[in-house]
Amino acid sequence: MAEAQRRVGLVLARASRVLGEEPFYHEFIEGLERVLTPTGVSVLVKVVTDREAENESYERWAEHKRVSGVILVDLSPDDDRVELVKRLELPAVVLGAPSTAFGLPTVWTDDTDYAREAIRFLADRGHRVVGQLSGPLSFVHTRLRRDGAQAEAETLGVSLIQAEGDYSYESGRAATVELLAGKPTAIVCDNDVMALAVLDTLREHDLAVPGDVSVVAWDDSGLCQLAVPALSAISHDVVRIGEIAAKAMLDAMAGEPPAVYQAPPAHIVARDSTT
Amino acid sequence: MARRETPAAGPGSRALVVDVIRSARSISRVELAEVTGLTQPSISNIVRVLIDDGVIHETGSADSTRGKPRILLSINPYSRFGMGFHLGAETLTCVAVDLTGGVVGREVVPLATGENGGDLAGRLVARFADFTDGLDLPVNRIEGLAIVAPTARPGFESAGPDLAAVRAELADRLRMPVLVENDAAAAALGEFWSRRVSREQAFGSVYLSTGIGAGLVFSGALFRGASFDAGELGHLSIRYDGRPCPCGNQGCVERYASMAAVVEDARQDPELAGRLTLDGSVSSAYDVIARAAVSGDPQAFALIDRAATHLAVAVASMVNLLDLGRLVLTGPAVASAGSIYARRLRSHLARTAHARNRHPIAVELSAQPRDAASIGAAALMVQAAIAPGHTTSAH
Repeated sequence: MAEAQRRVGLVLARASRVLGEEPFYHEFIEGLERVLTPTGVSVLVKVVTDREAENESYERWAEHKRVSGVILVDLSPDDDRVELVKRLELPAVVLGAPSTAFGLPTVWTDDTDYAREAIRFLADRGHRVVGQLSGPLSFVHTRLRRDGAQAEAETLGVSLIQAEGDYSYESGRAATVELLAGKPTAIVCDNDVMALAVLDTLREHDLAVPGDVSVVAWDDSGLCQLAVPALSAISHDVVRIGEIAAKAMLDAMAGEPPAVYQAPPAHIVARDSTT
Repeated sequence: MARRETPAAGPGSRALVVDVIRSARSISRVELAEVTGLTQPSISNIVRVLIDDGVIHETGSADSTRGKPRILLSINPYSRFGMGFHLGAETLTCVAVDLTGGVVGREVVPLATGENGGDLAGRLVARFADFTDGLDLPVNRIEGLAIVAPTARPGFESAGPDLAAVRAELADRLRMPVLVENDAAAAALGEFWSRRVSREQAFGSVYLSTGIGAGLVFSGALFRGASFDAGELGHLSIRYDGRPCPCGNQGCVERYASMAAVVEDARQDPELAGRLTLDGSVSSAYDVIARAAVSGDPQAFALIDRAATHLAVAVASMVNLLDLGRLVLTGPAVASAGSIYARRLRSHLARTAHARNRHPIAVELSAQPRDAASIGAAALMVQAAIAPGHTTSAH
């Protein structure tokens, strides 16, 4: 018989189809495994349809001692998962801002700062009216990005228009139409799929990219690189973020005190979609 | 429990109906009759049985010009699951997919499969239990398990585990269908299934990893050749006097365009090797080069673009030989630098493919390139279960 496998659990609450569209998680998991697999710890990824099923998974994993720790993603303000894993005594690491984690260790990408950098990048190129197409407002990282962009826009005297999407292509199209009412000369999107929707919608409105409107995507991907024109993107080393999360997880499993682990800085890769 | 037998004959009406619903995403009974050529009563009967079996469900209605709303049918994703195990050199990738090919669970565990592998079948049985328990997947809703591995090099056929024996033992102990398939072929079937490619398309996929393979799906069925060794694209020679290959030939494209070849070339370039961290495994060194290439490092870009140019020559030959209409690039090498390969292949095929003026040759990127082989394995079981008639196993 095989020895019991030491493992870390990662539950993603979304349709199985959506996981396939999000390169972020594939690269994140790859990074986790580069550190964890050599130490004999595996990563069990479970895709469930909603948050209720997610919480049930943690309950069952704890009851049957199937995982030695869990990684929590996409936190909302006052997220009940933080209390749940503490009650279940599951070592946990949060991918997100320390302010949401109530004392759990976090791996933190400074969303506020990158949102500011994106606005600065566009302001430097002469843009005075910028649209921001964000992800769902229920996520903390969405709010941090919106607040960061707003703060930088005010500092630089840029007028910022904001619209909300749910990372899907369809939501990106609808939000673009909303943003266009304010006549922006640049649009920043919270993921690559919505940025592709922006490109298509602008084309239908006879607006040239980047001649009339510049477009920047959050998270670089093959889709960004193959888009016409190729999308400028805020590029994170997501594999590296996964490696750092794995280190944080090993520390948590060893009973080390919680810490904030800083993700490596992102940078903007300028391609053909910005002037 | 009792399992449906896979019919020995060609795909039956039920398989055809399922396959049309899968590729259409959602479709009405009337349209099903039009597309399949089956009569309305036959469609009604088949659809009723499929709904009773939980394979499809009614998903609301669409407006009809004739006033009566049309009820749409689609695959019921979460009613059953397929399992795939990908045997790597030192690890086992386990994947569970739903009926649309969407991933519902995934885990990579350490597993030595070489001479010291010991009781491989026994350990796979234990892994299977461990994995399904972790996902809380009821065993009676699992359609079967497919095990995939790279094909052995000529002369090394007996170096790996005896998968035929492992398959037979697993089928016996798990009491469910178990298949064995090569990794690149399985990846193609997975892309075919989850991308909803229609069975009318001549479909192929290129699997870029430490080596290079291809998989081909014609009329909805994986093409396997005489010994399940079809699709050895990596050993298509692009130069008769080129680099020697361990397979015995010269100039095999794998020696120019695989992850291993790119890393080897990069390590021999003093400037690149000095600037980028290229120690560690082939896959981690490759990812460093690939990330640099797509982030604007001109030298790293040139290196991968050259690999892509070599690959494009071989792929054009494959496309011409088989008159393919649609290609997907997949495998771990595509995860970070896929856009460079896709762009090269598109421009090369647009210029050189023999059928280029008759039909476009679409080149797409896989959405889950790192796990394509294990996802494909699991999809193979889903296809065998709900659209049977296409699937036989190696060994």
